Amino acid sequence: MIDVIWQPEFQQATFRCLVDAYSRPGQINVLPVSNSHSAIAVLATLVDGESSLSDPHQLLDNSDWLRLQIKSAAPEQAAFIVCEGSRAVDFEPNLGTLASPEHGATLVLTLDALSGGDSHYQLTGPGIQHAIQIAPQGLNKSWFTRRRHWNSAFPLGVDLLLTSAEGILALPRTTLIKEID
Amino acid sequence: MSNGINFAFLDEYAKREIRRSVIKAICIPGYQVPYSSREMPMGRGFGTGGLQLTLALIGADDTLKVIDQGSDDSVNAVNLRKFIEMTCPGIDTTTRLQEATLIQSRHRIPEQPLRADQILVLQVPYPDALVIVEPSEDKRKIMHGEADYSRLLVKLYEDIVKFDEITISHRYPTRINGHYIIDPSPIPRYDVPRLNHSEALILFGAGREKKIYAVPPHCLAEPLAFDDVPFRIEDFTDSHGERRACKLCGSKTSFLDEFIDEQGARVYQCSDSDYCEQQQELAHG
Repeated sequence: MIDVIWQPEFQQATFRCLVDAYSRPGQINVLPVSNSHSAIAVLATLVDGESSLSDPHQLLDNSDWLRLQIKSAAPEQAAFIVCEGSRAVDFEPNLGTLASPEHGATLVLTLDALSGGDSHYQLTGPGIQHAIQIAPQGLNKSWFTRRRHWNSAFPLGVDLLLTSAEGILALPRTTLIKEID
Repeated sequence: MSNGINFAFLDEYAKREIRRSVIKAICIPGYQVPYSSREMPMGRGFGTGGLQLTLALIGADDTLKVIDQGSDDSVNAVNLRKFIEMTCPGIDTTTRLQEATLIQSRHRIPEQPLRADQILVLQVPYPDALVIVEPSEDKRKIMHGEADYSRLLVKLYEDIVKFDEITISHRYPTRINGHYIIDPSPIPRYDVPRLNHSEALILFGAGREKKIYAVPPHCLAEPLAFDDVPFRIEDFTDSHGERRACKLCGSKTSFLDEFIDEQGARVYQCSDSDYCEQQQELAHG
């Protein structure tokens, strides 16, 4: 039985969740129900043979690659990179160019949970009325440290998406993240 | 719809490309993301950019409102609405703003405030505010990246020198999140302040020019102006210094259209027909 994430109706609903998530950084959006991990549902919604994907931690199996109809690329070149959020960063993603900042990569991180973590962060920026707090569980701290460096020269940068079984949480390049004690 | 045509007309590959462009447009507020803009069964310039955004967003549980210059009944709105109803079986359409989840509009932002659960799609004829000062797109892309808008400010300054006034009536250049300046589509000046810290996401689609851009919710949107020449909206006061009212609903706060009636007199009426009707319903209980 093929999972619903490969159906157009599911992908349309997932896209609306993604639009809402990126419009309101820090907010946890629940995806429509499926048997697959949220990260694969997101990729099924956004990518095809016209895009490129890197999977340095081998999170996708062969049938996922076939259904996505996408070619593998090195993390330095890929438009989409899917990673385990608990592992440390060990690559430099594409940040785009001044004339074409949309080439900056989309990083899809898989996590145990989007809330209930030990470290708390305060978010401000477009899409956030005043400020919002997040506490993703099991996120390796190197992601936010490297992100600050990658996103230091707007409009260049990367856009993050944290995913878990419960849903998705987006961190576009415009979101300012501050760790709070 | 007969067999062989996909839900929402576009094929799934076209939708995925628009999805990727929309996400990047939200992540880089005000930046014009290029996309391939598919051929639609209507001429470019008839709202195909907005239409492709709507078709990529819409699902069977959506309620759609389509507006043309504030009116749900003018020809562009009617034709787009019919096409979307035909190709998206199961969706609902409405003229009441409060019932809509998705709103496609040409040249107006609805009079009443938008909610966080609504998305506004604006049709855009000319997406680049810099085109009046720089003909080369390559150079404009660098200028946008560097947020170099000095030549646009000179153009506004020249207006003030010649006419004592910035003469842009619509498509007023607006800076988003302190960086990119957008052409907010031919909305009147009256609508520009409502881009600032909007509750709803606002998406812009230019089909002929193949660009998608966005103003996210709760995002700074400032019309370009000078410290000593502030931005101002249209002036609806009459010769006695009174704010003109809509002849149908009596509203003294709405954006007004000017008509010449059968006796040759000038009359004023709300541009947003849905708002005007709701005001009349309130008045008549």
